[in-house]
Amino acid sequence: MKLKILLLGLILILVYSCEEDLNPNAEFLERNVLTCVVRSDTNYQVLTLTRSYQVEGLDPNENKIDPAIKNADVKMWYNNKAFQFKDSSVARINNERYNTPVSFYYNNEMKPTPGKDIEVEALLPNGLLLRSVTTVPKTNSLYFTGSNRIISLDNKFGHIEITWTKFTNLYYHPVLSIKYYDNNLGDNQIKVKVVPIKYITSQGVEKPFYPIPSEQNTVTFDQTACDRAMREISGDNPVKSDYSILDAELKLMVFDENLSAYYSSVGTFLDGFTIKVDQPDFTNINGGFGIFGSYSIKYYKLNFTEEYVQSFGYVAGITGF
Amino acid sequence: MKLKIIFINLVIIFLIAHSINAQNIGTIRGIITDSTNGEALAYGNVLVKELGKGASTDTRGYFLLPSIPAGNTYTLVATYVGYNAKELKVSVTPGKITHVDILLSPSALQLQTVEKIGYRIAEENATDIGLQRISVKNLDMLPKGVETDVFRSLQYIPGVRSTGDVSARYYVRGGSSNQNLVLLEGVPIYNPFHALGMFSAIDPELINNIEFHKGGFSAEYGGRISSVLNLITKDGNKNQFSGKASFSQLTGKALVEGPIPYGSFILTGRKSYSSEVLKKFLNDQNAPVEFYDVSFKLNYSNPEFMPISKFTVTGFLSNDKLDNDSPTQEDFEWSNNLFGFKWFQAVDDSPLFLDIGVSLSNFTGKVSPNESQSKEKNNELSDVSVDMNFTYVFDSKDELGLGLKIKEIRTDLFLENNFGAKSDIGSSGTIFSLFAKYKFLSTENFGVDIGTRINPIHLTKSATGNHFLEPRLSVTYRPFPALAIKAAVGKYIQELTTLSDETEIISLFEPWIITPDYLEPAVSNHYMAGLEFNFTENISFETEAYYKIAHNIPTLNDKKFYSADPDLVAGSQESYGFEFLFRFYQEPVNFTASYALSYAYKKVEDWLYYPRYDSRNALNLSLECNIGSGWQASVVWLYNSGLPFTQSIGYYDKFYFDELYSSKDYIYESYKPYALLRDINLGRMPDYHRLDINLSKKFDLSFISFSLDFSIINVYDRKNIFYFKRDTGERVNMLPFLPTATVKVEI
Repeated sequence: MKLKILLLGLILILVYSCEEDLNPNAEFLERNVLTCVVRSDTNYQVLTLTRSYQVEGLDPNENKIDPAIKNADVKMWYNNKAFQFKDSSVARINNERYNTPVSFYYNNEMKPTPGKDIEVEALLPNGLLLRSVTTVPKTNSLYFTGSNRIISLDNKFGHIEITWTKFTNLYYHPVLSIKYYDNNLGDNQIKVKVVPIKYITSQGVEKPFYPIPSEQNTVTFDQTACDRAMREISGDNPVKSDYSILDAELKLMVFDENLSAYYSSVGTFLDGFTIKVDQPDFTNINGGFGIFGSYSIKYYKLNFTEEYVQSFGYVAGITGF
Repeated sequence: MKLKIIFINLVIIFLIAHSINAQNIGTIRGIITDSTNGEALAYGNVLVKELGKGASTDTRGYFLLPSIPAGNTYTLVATYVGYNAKELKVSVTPGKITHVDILLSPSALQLQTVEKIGYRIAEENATDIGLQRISVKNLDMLPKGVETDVFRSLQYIPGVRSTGDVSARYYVRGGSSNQNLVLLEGVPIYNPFHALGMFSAIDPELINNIEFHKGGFSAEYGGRISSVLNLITKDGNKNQFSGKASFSQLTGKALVEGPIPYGSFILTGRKSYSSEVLKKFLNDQNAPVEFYDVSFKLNYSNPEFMPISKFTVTGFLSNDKLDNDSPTQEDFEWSNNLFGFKWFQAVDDSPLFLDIGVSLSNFTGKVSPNESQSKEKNNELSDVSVDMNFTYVFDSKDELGLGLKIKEIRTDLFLENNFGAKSDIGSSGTIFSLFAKYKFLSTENFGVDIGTRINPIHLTKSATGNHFLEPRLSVTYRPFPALAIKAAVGKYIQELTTLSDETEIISLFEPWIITPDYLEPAVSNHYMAGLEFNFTENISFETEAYYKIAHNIPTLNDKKFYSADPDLVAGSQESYGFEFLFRFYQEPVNFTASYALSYAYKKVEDWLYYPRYDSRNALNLSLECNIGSGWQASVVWLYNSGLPFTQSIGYYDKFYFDELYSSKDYIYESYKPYALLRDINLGRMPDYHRLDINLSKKFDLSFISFSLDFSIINVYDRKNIFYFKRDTGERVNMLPFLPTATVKVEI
C-alpha cells in the first residue's frame, strides 16, 4: 500500500511538474519613442511620438491601446531657424491593433539642404524632453561612375549596372523606375513602373526581387527583369501603342549615419536557424528610443533606345532619345 | 648567467645521483593490450605482487615500474576491469629495463564488459584533480538523443553545463564554450559539431578512451583557458579484419579495421540520410542538413625497424551542408580537415619516452546568403603544428616532462554584423611554446605535478610579459588509503577566440580569429581543491571546489554599428562552485549521483551579469544495470536550476521601413512591437529536468553480432522552456518525449 501511495505521489509530482509558467516581464518602466526620417526632397516632414506599453500576457500584439503621445511641443532647428511641428492625425489603414487614427506631428515648411545639421526637440506633456541631431547626407560629391546609361536591345552584358561614389558608414537605397504615359487613362500624368533586380523562383513561384538598403555602392539589374517590367506596363492590353515610354530613372536614397545603423539593426537579417533572444537596438534619441534620421536623394537618368521601346510595341516618348 | 650555470650543475648532479642509484635496481616497462584486437588498455593496473608496488598504464597502454630491486624474479599481476587478470613472472636485471607485453583477454562474463576505467588503483598519488576519464562503453550505456554522442555525454559530468537540448556545446565551470580545447590524437579540432551544433562530429566508434580535464590541467596542455577534452583513438584490430555498421534515425555509419604488416588500421565513416528527427530539436522547423565524417588511423610498429616505437597517421574529415531549396534562403557549409603524424618512441634501456608529432587542422565555415537578407560570412582557419614531448621516469618514480610546440596559425574572416558593419579580418602568426614539468611521485601517498609553459613567441602582438609563463601545480596527498586530498592551481592563456554572440542560443556561425592586436590574450587562473573518499571498493565519493578568474576575455562588441568599430571588447569572467560525485558499483548495478553548486559572472564594459550558461544547481542521477543475457538498461535523471535570461520592461512600437521604395506614407503605419529589455540576464527560466531511459540488447547470430538500442529522452515529457519569441510571446520548448533506436551489426 505504501509503495502504491509513493508511486502515485511520484506520478503526481511528475505530471504537475511537466510545465511551468514563465513570466518574461520585469516591472514595467515607461519609455518614450521619437521617430522621424527627414527627407531632403520635400518640405513636408513627419514625426511620431509614442510611449512604451505592457501587456497582460506574452504577446505584445495584444496591446490595443494606442500608445501615441499627443500635445507635445515639437520643434526642429535648421539653418538657424526654428520650425514648429503641429499635431495631426490620419485614418489608419490597418485597424487590427488600434482602432484610432494615426497621430503624428508635421511641418510643411522645412526642406533641408544636403550637408546641413537638423536638431529636434520634443517636450512631452509629462515634462520629459527628447532630443536628437541628424546631418542630411551630402550628395554634391556623389557621382555615378562607370554606369550604364543606355538601355538597348543588344545589351551584350545581360544586365544594367550602376555605380556611385561610396561614403563611409552610409547606406544607399537604389530604386529604378521606368517613366511612361498610359494614354488609356487620359490623365496626362507620368506613371512609374519600379524595376526589380531580378525575378527568382521560390517553391515554384516567380517573384520580383527589389534592391534593399545596404552599404553597397553598386546595383545590377538583370536585362530580363527590365524587359519583363516593360511588358508588365501594358499587361494584357493588346494595344501597346497606348503607352509612351519616356525614360528610366534611378532614385538613389542616401541614408545618414544614424538611419543607416538603425536600418541595419531593425533588419537584423538573421538566417532561418539562428535564434537570437535579445534583439539588437539602435537609437540616437537622447532621453528615449527611436530614430531621428534623414536621407538625401540623387537621381540618375537612363535612356532607352527607340528600337528597344518599339520591340514591346510601345511608343518612344519625347524625352527618351 | 650565474643562475643558469648553477641550474645546469644541479640538473647534472641530480641525474648522476639517479644513475648511481640505478646500479642496484632495475625497471619493468610494458604495454597492456586486449588479446582479441591488440587495442591498448588505458589506465589498467600492474602490481609487483612480492613488493606491493604498482603502476597504471597511460593512454597508450604503457606502464613503467622503476626502482625494482634487481636480481630477482617477480610476479607481475595485470588487471583491467572487464578482463581476466593475468600473472606473469618477470626477472629484473640491474640497471636495465625489462620490457613485457601483456595481453589480457576479455572476461567471459557479459556482466563484466562494462569498463570501469578511471579508477587508478595502483597509483594512489596520481595528480588528477579535475580529470574525468570516460570509456566509450560507458557512453554506450547512456540514453541517447538519437545516437551516442561524446559531447552530450559530457553534460552528465558535474561542472559541465549546456544551454539546451538542442546544442552539444558545453560550458565548463563558468567558462565559455570557445575556451574548451578538443583534441583528437593531440590535434585540435576547431568546430567539432554536426547539424547546427546539435551533435558532436566525432564518431564514438573511433574513440578508445576520453580524458576530460575540467580545469587545473598540467603544463603539457596549452591554448585554452577552460577545459581540455583529449580523445584517444583506437588503433584498429591487430589480429583480424572486422567491420561494423549501424543505423540510427539520423545517420548510417560503418567501420572497418584490421591488421597490416607490423600494424593495424581503422577507418570509420558516417553519413546523415534523414533530417526528419532534427525537427524535434528545432521546434518542428525543417533543417535540410546533410553531413558526413570520415576518420582513419594507421599505425606501424616494427621492432626490427625501430624497437619499442610506434608511428601513427590520423585523419579526420567532416563536412556539413545546409542547402535550402529556395534562392531566397541562405546556404551554409562547414568543414574540418585534420591530419596528424606521430612517432612514439620508448628509448631502449632508458626510461625515456618521446613523442614527435606533426599535424594540420583546418576549419572553414561559410554562409552564402543567396537572395536572402542574411549577410555573407566566410571563415577559414589553418593550424600547422610540430611538437615534441619527452618524458623521463626516474628510478624514484618521479617523472620529468619536457616539450616544445611550434604552431603556425592563419585565420581569415569576412562577415557583416547585425548592424551591417563589415569585418574583413585576416591574421596569421606563430606560437612557439615550451613546457617543463616535474612529477614527484616517489612517496606512495604524496604526489606533486609542478611545471610551467613558457611562451617566448606569441600569436598576438599585444602579448606582454604577463603572458610569458603559465605556471601550474597539482598536488595529491593520501593520508589514508581511502582518502585523498587534492589541489591544483594554474595560469592559462588563450590567443584564439571565436566571434560568439552571447544572445544567440542557436548560432550557425562562430568564426575563429586570432585575438586582435588591440586586445591582450585572455588569461585565466584556476584554483581547485578536492577530496576523494573510497568507502569500500564499490563506493566512492568525490568533491571538488574551484575558483576561476579570467581577464581579457574577447567579447563580441554589441555596439559595433560601423565597420570601423572594433569587433571585440575585453571582458572578464569569474566563477566558483562545489561539485560532489557519489559512485556505487556492485555488479550488476552502477549508480552515480552528482551535484554541482556553481556561480558564474561576466563583466563587460562595467556591466556585471550572469552568462547564459550560469545554472546555480545541477543534479544528475544515473543508474545502470547489466540485466544479463546481453540486456543492459540505464536510467538518467537530470536537473538544472533555471538559466538566466533578459526580461522585458515593456514594449514599444518600433519603426520598420523595409518597403521604403514603394510606400509614400511609410512613416504612419510601419511599426511592429519591440521588446524593451531590462539589464542583461537578470531573470531566470524555470528549472530544467528530464528523465531518460535506455535499453539495449546484444546477441549473436552465427558470426554476426547484433546490438539493438532503444532510448527514450524526456520520458515524462517535461516542457523545458528553451526560449520565447519576444515578438509573439510564443513559448518554444526543448526536446519533447523522444523515442530513438539504433541498430548495430558487427562482423
